[in-house]
Amino acid sequence: MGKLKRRWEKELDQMTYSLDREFVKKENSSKAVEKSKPFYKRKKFISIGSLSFALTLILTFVLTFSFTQPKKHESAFVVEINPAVVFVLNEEGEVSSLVAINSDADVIVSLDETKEDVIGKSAPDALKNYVDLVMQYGFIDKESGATVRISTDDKGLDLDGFCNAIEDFLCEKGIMNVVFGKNLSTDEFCDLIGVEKGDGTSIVQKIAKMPTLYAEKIAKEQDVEVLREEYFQTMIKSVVAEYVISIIDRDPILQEIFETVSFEDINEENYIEAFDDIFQFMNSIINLEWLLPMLELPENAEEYVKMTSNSMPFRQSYLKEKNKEEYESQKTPVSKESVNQYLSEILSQYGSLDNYWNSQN
Amino acid sequence: MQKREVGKLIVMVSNGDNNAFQDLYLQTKRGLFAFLYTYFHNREQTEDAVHNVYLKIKINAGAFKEDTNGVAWILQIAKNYALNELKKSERTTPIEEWHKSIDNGDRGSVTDAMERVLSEEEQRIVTLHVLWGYKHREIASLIGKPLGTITSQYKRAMEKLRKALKED
Repeated sequence: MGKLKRRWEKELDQMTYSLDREFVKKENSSKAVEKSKPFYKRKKFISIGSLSFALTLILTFVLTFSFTQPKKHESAFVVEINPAVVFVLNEEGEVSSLVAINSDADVIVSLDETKEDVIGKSAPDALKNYVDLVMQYGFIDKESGATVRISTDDKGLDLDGFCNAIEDFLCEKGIMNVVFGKNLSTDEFCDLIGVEKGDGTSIVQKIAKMPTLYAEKIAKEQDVEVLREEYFQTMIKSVVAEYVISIIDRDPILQEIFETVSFEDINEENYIEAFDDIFQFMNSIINLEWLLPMLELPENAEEYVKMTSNSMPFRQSYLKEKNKEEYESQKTPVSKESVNQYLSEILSQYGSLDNYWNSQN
Repeated sequence: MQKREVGKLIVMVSNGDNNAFQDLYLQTKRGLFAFLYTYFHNREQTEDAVHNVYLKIKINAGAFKEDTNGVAWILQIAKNYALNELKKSERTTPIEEWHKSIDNGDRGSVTDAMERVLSEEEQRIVTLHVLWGYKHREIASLIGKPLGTITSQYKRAMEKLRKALKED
């Protein structure tokens, strides 16, 4: 929304130019208004007969129950908000590992907080903590609401319970949301997480062979041109350039100097070259030397992984800082009725949650 | 845009502070122009409207109650003015003439894209949220619709707008 807003404001400035001449005097002595982030009481006397009858009942129940309930086993599901992450559960239903399956997921999966607050927790608790981190790093816009899809091929998983845990958390935070579960076939699930189908191994075994970070995964699979483009989009354009623009936006003098520059209009092919001039100029005013290594493009897969890893702490701290005010802002909790009504509106417009999901992604 | 700051500036304007009036104009002109454009759909009439609304603000600043919402006060004046003017236009201008006056706008501009792909209500919701900083909850209260409706309308509007701007 920031880019749209800047572009729109520029247009409006042009459209109100003739009015400026009437309402704005040349000598402006006033201060610039600052612009503007909850015994059994037992009968002691039990006859031996009734005791043995009770024990027989209990034994029968336990044996029957243990044969009809599925054995505990490891399982996996994917949570897509953007980011998109695979959760692996151990036999006790606790999160044993996470795997990133898109670039933004690398930001969350590699956090220390993720290791402390998500790994080792029961699935519902882990999901709430995970969504909280996703919010903290700016991947959920509180105003626009959140759309979350949880997918699995394991029909024994309590998808409804997981969805409710996330929905309750988001409602409490005042965020309108659509959270739904999707049962997939094993082949569809393999396609979703990007692993080979039909090699005889279980889903969990396939996931165990995947690297934790998406950057490592695509470094093995993609050409260097794809990796360079990925690095350009996720790091140079989305983080470094935005960081530099945010410095300009905070300084009235830099704003004046760069008033005629529209970063959105810079051709992507010449972006680094065009941006480099701006960067070099700014570096003469404030020390931005430490950003220089991040403005290069990787020459091979190994460099891509190394550069992505080295720049991750800056990417994380930039996203967290950028989103701090928004994350800390208090919102009135959203009622379930509001969420249900929102869902009805979406279904009446899109026909199904799948259609809605496809329109958003 | 800080709503409390706008309120303070209106109070200063009511005390005859011309610099405060200038600051108020600079702080609110974009949002006011965009808001009035959703009523008039052309630059000429919108410019006239903005001009007249600011004069009304200056004249009536004394009626503004301190510690109330300055932005809401300005938008109410703007809305009342726009509706009155449109009623007058319908009475004196043939419908065909009035429709002809609607801008085709500069193709590729945000304003043009909004005109082409968004309904009037969608335009207003986007303007109030993006330019005036109104939260969805506040817009819902202002327009008199449920929060879920406003959120879904906003999302839909932004999708259409992004698509239209990409195609341009």
